[in-house]
Amino acid sequence: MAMKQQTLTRLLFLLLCLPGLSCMEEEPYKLAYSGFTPQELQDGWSLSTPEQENMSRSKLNQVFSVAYREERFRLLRSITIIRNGNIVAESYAHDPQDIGRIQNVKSVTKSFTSILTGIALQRKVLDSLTQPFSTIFPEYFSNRPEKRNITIEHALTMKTGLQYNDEEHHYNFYFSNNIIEYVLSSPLNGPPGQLFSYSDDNPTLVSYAIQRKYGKSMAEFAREYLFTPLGITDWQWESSRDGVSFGGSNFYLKPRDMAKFGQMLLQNGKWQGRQIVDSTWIAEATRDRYANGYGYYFWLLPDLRSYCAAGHGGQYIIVVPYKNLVVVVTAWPYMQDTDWLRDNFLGTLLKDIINACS
Amino acid sequence: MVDSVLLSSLQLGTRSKETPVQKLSMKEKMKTILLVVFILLGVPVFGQQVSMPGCEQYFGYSLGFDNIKEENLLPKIHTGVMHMFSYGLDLRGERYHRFQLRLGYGNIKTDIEREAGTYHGHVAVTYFQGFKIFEREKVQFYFGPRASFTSSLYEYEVWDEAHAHWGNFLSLGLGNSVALLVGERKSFLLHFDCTLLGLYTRPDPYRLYANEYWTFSNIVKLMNSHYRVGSVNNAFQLNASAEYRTPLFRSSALSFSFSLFYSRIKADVGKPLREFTPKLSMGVWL
Repeated sequence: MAMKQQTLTRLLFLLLCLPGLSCMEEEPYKLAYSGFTPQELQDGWSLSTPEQENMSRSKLNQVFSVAYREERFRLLRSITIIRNGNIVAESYAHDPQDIGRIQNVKSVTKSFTSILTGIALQRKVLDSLTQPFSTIFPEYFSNRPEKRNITIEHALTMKTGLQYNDEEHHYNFYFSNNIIEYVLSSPLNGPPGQLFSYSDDNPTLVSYAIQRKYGKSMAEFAREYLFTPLGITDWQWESSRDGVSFGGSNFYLKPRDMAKFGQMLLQNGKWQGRQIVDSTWIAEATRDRYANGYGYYFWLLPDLRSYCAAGHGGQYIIVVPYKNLVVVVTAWPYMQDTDWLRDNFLGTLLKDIINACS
Repeated sequence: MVDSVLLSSLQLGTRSKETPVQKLSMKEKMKTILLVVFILLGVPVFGQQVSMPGCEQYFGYSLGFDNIKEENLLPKIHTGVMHMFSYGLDLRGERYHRFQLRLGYGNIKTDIEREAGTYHGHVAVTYFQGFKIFEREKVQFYFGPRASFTSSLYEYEVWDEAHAHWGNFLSLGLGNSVALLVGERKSFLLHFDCTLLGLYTRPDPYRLYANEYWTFSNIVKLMNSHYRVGSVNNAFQLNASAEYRTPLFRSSALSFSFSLFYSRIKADVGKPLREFTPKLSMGVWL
């Protein structure tokens, strides 16, 4: 009997050993750091070196080493550094193939919406910033008199007053068959123009205004007046079920094309000699409009004398005019612990990158 | 009741048919069994069920340790507790017909998440038909084909707020079952099966555009489109279990078991989904 029990014990032990066969190894998200030399891709960018652009190679090496090594940057995907219009450094921490992959830039989308608004004004697609939405799509306001004076500028500054919360409304927002009706059905927190409330609904009102006046979606407007001039060919822009481009998120782009957008901002709206958007619009959009660190869908970084387009989880296009510098960062758009990259990157590594410029 | 029937059947076999195996010591008998199980079949053989002819039903609950690695999404392992409810139906005679239905639910997380934000639903339907290969005193061994359908659905809210991820596998394979009588109406059962080929479906790894519409019908439709044929290189599953059964009442038995489920499903494009779930189960045979 004892022998039988011993054999059974051995059998059970064998079963317990099977987990070892499962090949469920935890792999690091980031690769080992192997340098930041940019790749030649024939995509409209010229490449350079830190020395040629008066940047410290050792300081940049330190930045990349820290970003690769430290756990606080655990979901980092890429860093691209452009100085004087040339790519000086880039590295893809998760997968080298990311250089050719589009990814969701999350709320960086809003900054694209901002620039498209400027182009729409410049091209007289939109009349003015003070134009109420109720004059562009009046059918949505017939039974909402309290919302008839919501203007494009209110939406650009997140001050429509609509009581909308991204987390609470996310699902219905994306699956609404009539997204504008859904957005405008939210009650008002207060009169338009007073309360700042950051959300995805306001930029979508702007997107729909451009669509109504242009006759095609904002994504198509962007294709003609922004992406084609910038040489951006690989992109996707999600739209609602009724065909309205989401103005606040879910736009997909490659890191180097994000950098083109940043460089165009740095050059006051010009790209390769062509004026894409008025420089005055960029100045207006990147000015702290209500002392809340926010312009027209751009965040201001006064301590660093710079501004940025910022997206959830660590997507950034950072423009540092006084150093003629653009920095693009992408990361996994992880949903918990939302500030992990913002606090760490902007607070430390961005300063180090700026300090690497002489 | 179940085990007493088995006991009498095995004892009857002992009286009517003296074999050299029966004269061996218990240690040697076990070695013989292991030889058959591990060498002749080339795989470890574990099984379940000790019932004799007649219909038996099993109702059980399992507590598992869910390990998931969806590499299309990220190279991290999600772990957590899995709850599973099982129903089984057995017909055992010269052939052994075994049907199982398992429904599981897990709430899992990676090591960097503060709280579990990923949900895992699992459905498995398995049928095994075993042919009696070996029968000695207190031992029965069946070997034969098995077919199954397993479906795992994941919602990684923290990592991918837009998409469902899944691995479905309609498979054919081989299984075997060993029943050992270990005491008065008490039995120990081993079962092992694995897949050889089948139809599988995985999501497109590059679905970047458009949130999925999370209705039941849409998700079922989405999960069951674009099936491809594949063998062990693309899709492989393994089930192993060890069960101890002891009488409860006259016609029922209490069952305790430890089991393992391993699955790897990889489409031609993209990376694999791996699941590994060791489970402890408790149930009744009626």
